[in-house]
Amino acid sequence: MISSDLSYEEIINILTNTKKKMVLFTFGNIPLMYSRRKLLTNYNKHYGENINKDLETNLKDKYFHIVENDYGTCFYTAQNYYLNDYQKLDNVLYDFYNPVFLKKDELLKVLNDDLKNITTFSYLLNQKTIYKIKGDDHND
Amino acid sequence: MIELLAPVGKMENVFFAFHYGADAIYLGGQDFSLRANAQNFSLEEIKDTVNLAHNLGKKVYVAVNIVFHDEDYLNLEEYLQKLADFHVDAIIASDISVIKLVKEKNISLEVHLSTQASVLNSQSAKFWQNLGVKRIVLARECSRENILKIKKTTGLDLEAFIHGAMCTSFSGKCVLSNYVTGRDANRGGCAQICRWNFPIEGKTDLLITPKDLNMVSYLKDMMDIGINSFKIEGRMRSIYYVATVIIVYRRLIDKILNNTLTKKEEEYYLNVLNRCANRDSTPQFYNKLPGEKEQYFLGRDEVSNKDFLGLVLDYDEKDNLVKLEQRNYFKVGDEVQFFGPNHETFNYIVTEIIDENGEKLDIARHPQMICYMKVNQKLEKYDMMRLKVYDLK
Repeated sequence: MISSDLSYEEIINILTNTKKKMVLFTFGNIPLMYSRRKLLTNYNKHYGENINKDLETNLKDKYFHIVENDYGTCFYTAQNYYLNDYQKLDNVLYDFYNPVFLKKDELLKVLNDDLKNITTFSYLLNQKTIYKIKGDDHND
Repeated sequence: MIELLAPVGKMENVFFAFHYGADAIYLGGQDFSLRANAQNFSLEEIKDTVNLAHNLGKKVYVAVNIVFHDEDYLNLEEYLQKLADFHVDAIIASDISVIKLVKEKNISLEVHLSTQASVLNSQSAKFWQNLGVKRIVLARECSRENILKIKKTTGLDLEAFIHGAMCTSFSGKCVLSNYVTGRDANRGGCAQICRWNFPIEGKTDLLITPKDLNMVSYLKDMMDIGINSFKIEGRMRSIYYVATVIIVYRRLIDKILNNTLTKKEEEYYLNVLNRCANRDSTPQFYNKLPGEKEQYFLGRDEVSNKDFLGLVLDYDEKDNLVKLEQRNYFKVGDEVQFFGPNHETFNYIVTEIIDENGEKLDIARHPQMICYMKVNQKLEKYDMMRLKVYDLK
């Protein structure tokens, strides 16, 4: 499966240059972080709280859905990633859908390409990530 | 024999890491490594570092550990070939394409698998072994049982983190930074979103920051079960941090091997470690799953300390005069400590400070000013002076 951390251009480049057909992450909640720690349980223990092990939160305009189970804690995007125009792409074995939090009727709509009332976002499709920031010095 | 492996982010730190007791160092070039915003090393500097290390009988590993996008492959083969020409002792990689490239092009480089690959089980370890990897840097989430099984199944060299900052996520499995800031966590641009506060409506913010790791109390056991290299995190740290942490672990390892380590010493060294990092640290994952005590919550208080007071540039044995480069403000009457690799740490009360013109001063206040003090115990170049906070005696 091709990573969802890529720009549209990078995805096209991979599809064009591989001999084997690829699986494409087309729609769904992106898993952002997976910790072996039970972060919500630890929070509850520390503060004597009882927050749900299925929690939504946001940092400004970035929305998260946090889920904890016996294996640890996972942060997902709360919105669904959508690779628009995916139907036009060649060399695709199949499209991968990961709608972790959609209800059944919403999922059926999505499978029929009806995205009305489903919030989607393009993640990094239209922008590449950066990693060298001039003058950024973390020296202690 | 256990290897003590130190991080270096710039040329200055190389000398201090070896001088204070590291057996090997790891560093990143100006491309292809995580910590993209450390100063890092040019090819010339890598070559010089390898020559220095080999003259001392020590080793250098170069991190080539980013997750590669197509655009990142430019010049990679040439870069790897140059590292091989310099006789770098190994590269640290996680992307399977790098390991494949080394093999296919017959580049004479040993490959160590990065912690970014998050190896926790013997089957994964075996897979990588079959690809030609000679050492695995274990995931920080490895338990003692995981390590035993991996060692028994593969017999591979195993490297384990024993000190430093932890990721909240499994290494290499986090894109929080990518999502929130557009900075690529897996190409060295991590914005450390796991250290931010996540609001919860009507309640205290959620913090997911782990405490730092220290494995002081498990070093002997780790050696006994087959860990070959103790790795310290911190390529972006200062010379004071590198020197302090390395000398502490050097002394701990040597005392454990000689069976002379006391509980009092262990406690003292732990205090010194936590103070120099300015953060709490604790063992994690080895003996149990970390709980709330292994995390920070709101109310943590990290105030940068100014313990590092001076670097010894020279010592005149005839006059007992130390020449010091000031690194933080200190004054007459302060109680300080001198430490270095070739003598025990000792306390000293500053009775006199003399400047380069021979004038007496009450305070050494200017950054990197040169000053002189009479110290009756012998010191060596590159010893350090710090504020006395803890005392072994």
